[in-house]
Amino acid sequence: MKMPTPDLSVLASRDELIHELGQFLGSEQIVIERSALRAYESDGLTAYQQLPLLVVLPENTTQVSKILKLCSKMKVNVVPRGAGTSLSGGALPLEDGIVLSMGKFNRILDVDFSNRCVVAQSGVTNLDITNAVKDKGFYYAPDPSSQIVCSIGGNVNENSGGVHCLKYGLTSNNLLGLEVVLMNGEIIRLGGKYMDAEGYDLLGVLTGSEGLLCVVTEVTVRILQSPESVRALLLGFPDNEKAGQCVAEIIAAGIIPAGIEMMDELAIKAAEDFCHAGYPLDCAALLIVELDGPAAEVEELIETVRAIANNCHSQSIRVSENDEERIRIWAGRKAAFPALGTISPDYYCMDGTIPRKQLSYVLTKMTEMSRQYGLRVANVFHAGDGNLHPLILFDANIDEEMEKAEQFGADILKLCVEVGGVLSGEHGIGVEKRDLMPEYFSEQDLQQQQRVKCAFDPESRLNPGKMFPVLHRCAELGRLHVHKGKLPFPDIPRF
Amino acid sequence: MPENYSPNNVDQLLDLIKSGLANESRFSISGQDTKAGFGYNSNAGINIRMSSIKGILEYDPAELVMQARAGTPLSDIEEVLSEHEQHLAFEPPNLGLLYNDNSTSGTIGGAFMANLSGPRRFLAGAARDHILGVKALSGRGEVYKSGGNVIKNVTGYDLSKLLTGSWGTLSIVTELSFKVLPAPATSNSIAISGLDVDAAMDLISRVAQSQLQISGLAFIPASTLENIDCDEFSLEQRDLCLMRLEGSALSISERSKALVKLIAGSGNVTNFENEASMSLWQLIRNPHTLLSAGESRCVLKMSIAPANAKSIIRQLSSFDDCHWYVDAAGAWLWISLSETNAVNHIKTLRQSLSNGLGSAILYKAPSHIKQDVGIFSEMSSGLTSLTHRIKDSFDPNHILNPDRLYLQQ
Ligand SMILES: Cc1cc2nc3c(=O)[nH]c(=O)nc-3n(C[C@H](O)[C@H](O)[C@H](O)COP(=O)(O)OP(=O)(O)OC[C@H]3O[C@@H](n4cnc5c(N)ncnc54)[C@H](O)[C@@H]3O)c2cc1C
Repeated sequence: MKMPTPDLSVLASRDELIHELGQFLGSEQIVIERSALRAYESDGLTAYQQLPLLVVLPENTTQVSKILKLCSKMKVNVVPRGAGTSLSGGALPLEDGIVLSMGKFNRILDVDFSNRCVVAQSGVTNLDITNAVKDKGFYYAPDPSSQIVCSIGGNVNENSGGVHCLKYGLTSNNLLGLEVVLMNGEIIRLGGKYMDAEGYDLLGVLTGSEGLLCVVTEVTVRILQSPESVRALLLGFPDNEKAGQCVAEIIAAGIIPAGIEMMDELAIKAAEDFCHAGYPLDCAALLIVELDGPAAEVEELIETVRAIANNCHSQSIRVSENDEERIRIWAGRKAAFPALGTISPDYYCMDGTIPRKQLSYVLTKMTEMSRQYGLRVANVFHAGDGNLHPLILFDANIDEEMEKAEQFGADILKLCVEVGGVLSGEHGIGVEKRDLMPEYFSEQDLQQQQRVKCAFDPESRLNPGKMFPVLHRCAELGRLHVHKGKLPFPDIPRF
Repeated sequence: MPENYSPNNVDQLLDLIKSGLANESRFSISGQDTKAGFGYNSNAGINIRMSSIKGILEYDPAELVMQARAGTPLSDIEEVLSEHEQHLAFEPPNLGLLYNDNSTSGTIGGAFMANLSGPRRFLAGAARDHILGVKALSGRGEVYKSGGNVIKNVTGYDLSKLLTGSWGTLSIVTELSFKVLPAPATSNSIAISGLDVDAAMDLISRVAQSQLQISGLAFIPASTLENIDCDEFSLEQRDLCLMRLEGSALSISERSKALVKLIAGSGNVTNFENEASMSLWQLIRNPHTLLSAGESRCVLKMSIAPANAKSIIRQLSSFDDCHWYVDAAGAWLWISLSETNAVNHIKTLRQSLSNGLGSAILYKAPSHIKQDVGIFSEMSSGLTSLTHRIKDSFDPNHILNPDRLYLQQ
């Protein structure tokens, strides 16, 4: 992976930077030692590593603002970092950049039940938000599998989802307000404890911006009342096609389950061996369908889904009668990634979305590719919204197998685009998929995105080398070539 | 005299914009021009209507996605969706009726560029929560796309959301894809009368925090009902608190029982079933009737933290000639003011929100009032310059709906 060439003068100014930072940060807030910097050398995508110039740990927004101002002045790049669980290398450090860790932004500022929202500093974990409100029966809906550790600021920057986002939306649908700091040090507040902010939807464009536009310091999210009843069905099918058909028919029947997850044969087997959730081993595909809402409604829907599953030739149907049984149904799904880790030395988790009707075509193609590459692939994914998570199994100790796995992964994503899908459903572009962006976007599409980046960060200091395969200078992007001299208006229908 | 164009396709549109750039022309962009009363007058030399660039491009109900050209009438889309028992969950209102008694509901492009949303807002979101992708033409005369045709997508910046609600000031959107959802089989509502404002707002808050999946919670004071003439409320001259349940018949009947228990003892309850319930919420959804927003009246929509509703309502009650109602579970106030006292009242109301406590958008007013108080509240200087930089990044020569949202300094 090619990263921007480090600026030697910045490397040379490291001592001066430490000195300047020391003017307003305590020494424990500046990480200098090589051994301590190691903890930050990669994020959830461990294949890429880089030691940063320094790590700084601000404690409040004013400090963030001062750090960014200083870095602007000294031409130092900045990589914002939440909990470092990104699976696309979004928080990968740069040799000539500091890592701005939000680790000390760990306080929940306001739990406001009457306005049904929580205000938190951006380093608070996703699960801590739910933990802060659950005694009153509330929860924060987006639930990425990493929710015990990932930060709410990271969620905003990746627009993270979870198994429940088909019904309850992604981060962007549950976000009400932000406090952010621009690279020039300006502190800006957007939205708040209300739903419709004025002006351009900056909350919308900042969600999923992968740390390239600003540093998020504070987040206001809405919380929901937990549903009265939650039940799950475990449905086994003889092949992927019938399982896919069942998903389509459930939705066509007007049902939006809280979640629909699908696992293929390899994943079922690995999960069952790993945690004995009681999954049927004679099935080639499993669906978990979770329904929630008022008890009477859930009851009714369970029967409808059961009938649809029968119609789609389901071989086995298990319905949870209580929470314990529901948790058991989920256990295998939740353990699927670690389970696959036990049957292969390494795995590489992909993330693309396809129109659901392409599911069986894509899975068949993937099996063919798996044969060609000589690497196994297991599928565990959010079937309701067509978000695939193929896991490529490989052994990094075997020569070139990692490169092969990456190549296989890239082919899968190209296939997603080919059938009308996209490069990433929830893990983001980062460095991992950066060079695949032209598979999906034209140069013109990418340039317009970069112009928006210029509006926030004109010197491109925030997280450079991520998301965009080629970095253009803002002055160059802003130039507009207008035809000299008047042009006749074309002959176009008038009203 | 302005020139009026209605291009048939994107190529024609592109030609127009390119000639416009060369000729230093400015464009006023609309779908069917139903919401021209919103924003400042663009003073553009050329009007472009998108209504001929129309048609549904792709729709497979099981995918929950529809893709359509921007000029497709919203009513066509809603009709096709209802044939498949689906709908736009964000319940776009017909805002055109605020400005013109005979207005249609406009185009799908207009619905998204105005970021419309209805009473279901607190449960199902606004247009911005349903946009998935766009194809657009920037003020640089360049065609680009953002997003895609699938429900879950984080590939690149979400420019589609940035365009949603930008009222045509950043780009001309030519195609959109958006999420569509199963429509509830039926709807039931109750009206509770005889509660005072504080009791009603407390009740709304309690119900909003329940597990009942309420999809409409509104409050209309008697003072607003007095001014209107409509069948739904012919007998009511008292404050009304309205609650809506949607879903299957069975689910509704169970939840209705629970709702009745929850509100036990609070006022007199009237039931509205099926059709009656639907037409009741049309009144809430399309604000023109309740606001009786004739010619010169001003319409303000406040979006607030619901717990502040009571104190704002106290202010409203002290204003004379002010019609208002609460929607979205206490998070919205629709307000209609007479021209004579609008400026002071709007300033007072905005003052109460000045610490990031909410928004107050001026939807309709004579132009001198718009000039005086602004369409939006005053922004911090940082946000103002960021806003201008974003506009410039799409439309550096300010040829698209210039001045519609923000006046040039
Ligand atoms: C085991 C595992 C399971 C996962 N499951 C899911 C899942 O189910 N769904 C899902 O969507 N994702 C999942 N992820 C991915 C990851 O957890 C999410 O992307 C998460 O939101 C990242 O949060 P973080 O705090 O770790 O951010 P980081 O990894 O620290 O950063 C992510 C990106 O955001 C930027 N950033 C972080 N904080 C800020 C800030 N305050 N201001 C500005 N920029 C910032 C960084 O620069 C980086 O580009 C999973 C990851 C792991 C390791």
